[in-house]
Amino acid sequence: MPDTRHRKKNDAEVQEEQAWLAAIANSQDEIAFSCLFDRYAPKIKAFCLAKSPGSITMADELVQEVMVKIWQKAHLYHPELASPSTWIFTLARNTRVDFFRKQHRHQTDITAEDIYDDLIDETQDLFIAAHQKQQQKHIQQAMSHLSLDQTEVIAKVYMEGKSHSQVADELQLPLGTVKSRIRLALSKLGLSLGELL
Amino acid sequence: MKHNNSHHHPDSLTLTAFAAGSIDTYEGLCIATHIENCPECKRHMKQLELVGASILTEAKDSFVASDVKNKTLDAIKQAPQGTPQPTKKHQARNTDVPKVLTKWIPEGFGQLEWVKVNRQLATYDLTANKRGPRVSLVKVSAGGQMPHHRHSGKEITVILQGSFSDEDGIYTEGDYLVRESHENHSPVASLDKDCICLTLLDGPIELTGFFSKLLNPWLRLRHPI
Ligand SMILES: [Zn+2]
Repeated sequence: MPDTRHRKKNDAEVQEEQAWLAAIANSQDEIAFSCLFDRYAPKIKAFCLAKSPGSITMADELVQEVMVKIWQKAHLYHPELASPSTWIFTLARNTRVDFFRKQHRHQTDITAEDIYDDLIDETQDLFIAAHQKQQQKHIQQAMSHLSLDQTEVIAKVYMEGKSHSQVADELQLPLGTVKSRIRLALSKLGLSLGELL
Repeated sequence: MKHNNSHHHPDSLTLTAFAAGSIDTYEGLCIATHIENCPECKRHMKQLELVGASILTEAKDSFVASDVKNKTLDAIKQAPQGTPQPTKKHQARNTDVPKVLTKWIPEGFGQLEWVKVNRQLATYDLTANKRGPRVSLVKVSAGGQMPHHRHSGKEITVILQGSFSDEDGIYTEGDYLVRESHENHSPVASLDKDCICLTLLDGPIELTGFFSKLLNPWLRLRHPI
């Protein structure tokens, strides 16, 4: 569940994180890495624990794995294309997908990297990227205006990594209700595709 | 598959699950194959990742013990950093294979060991897994008829090359189609070009008796008798 009392990330913090990532990429700066660790490791751990509550050891392993990836891939981070938090979210998501993929009863050789990496578009239009950064602020604002019901389903999909039908089972709601809550939430965030609600 | 002329896309709930990472990688592969050549869905998916970023940064901090940090600091000393990664995939050479699929189809569609089902139809399995969802390529010769079929789970089709039509309309390169179970349809490939699709068949395939084998050529196609 997102902690809505937490204050929003401000521009200064974003710039600070970008500077840390640049320092890691350019000069293997361990102090910058340590700062980034202190800010993001507790978030990443919460993200991992949400999916598998109680698995402290596993969450710690995932935190370590994600942070090491940040260190290794810092040179691939493009500040023009994404904010640090978006980039870190995608790394955490991919790591978690792979972690649970390995535990899944139908093991597959399709990795998170296989499906997400080719979608990184380095030639992406900077105008669109700038627009998206603007949009991230709107989304952060709009998140706090979602109803409790909507926040709950969105958090379960994103934080807990649950499928729509898992969410429906858990909340003992019809699948259609869960889907319409997600659609309503997306439309409040300005992200609906113009589909019928 | 170079042009974006698709008219059928994954819906926003599917894209949300994809961006959130709350989808299995089989379905994820189909979605990624579509998105790669669909700027509209790609843009939408990037926006949905922003939601993930907001949720992550606003998550309530969870206590991380200092030994986890120390271990991580030790680990980065061993970890190679900043070096360009070796290309994990073969560069697709002049093939129309989407980048997402080149791990399985490095040399192009023509070089695959297609399994011929009949004169018009051939398949190639991308996933080795005998249980769980199956991801395959299906190739139908120009003008060929796909087997009239019913299936038990969800079926996803992404058109990689060519086009086909059924009772409901015509589908072209890049289109992402979902059929729920028990929908009957009998697609036909267009006349000018072979049609190659990526398909995912969800749910365990059960052969319950002689009649289901007889009545369900699609199953026979996957389980040659
Ligand atoms: Zn699309």
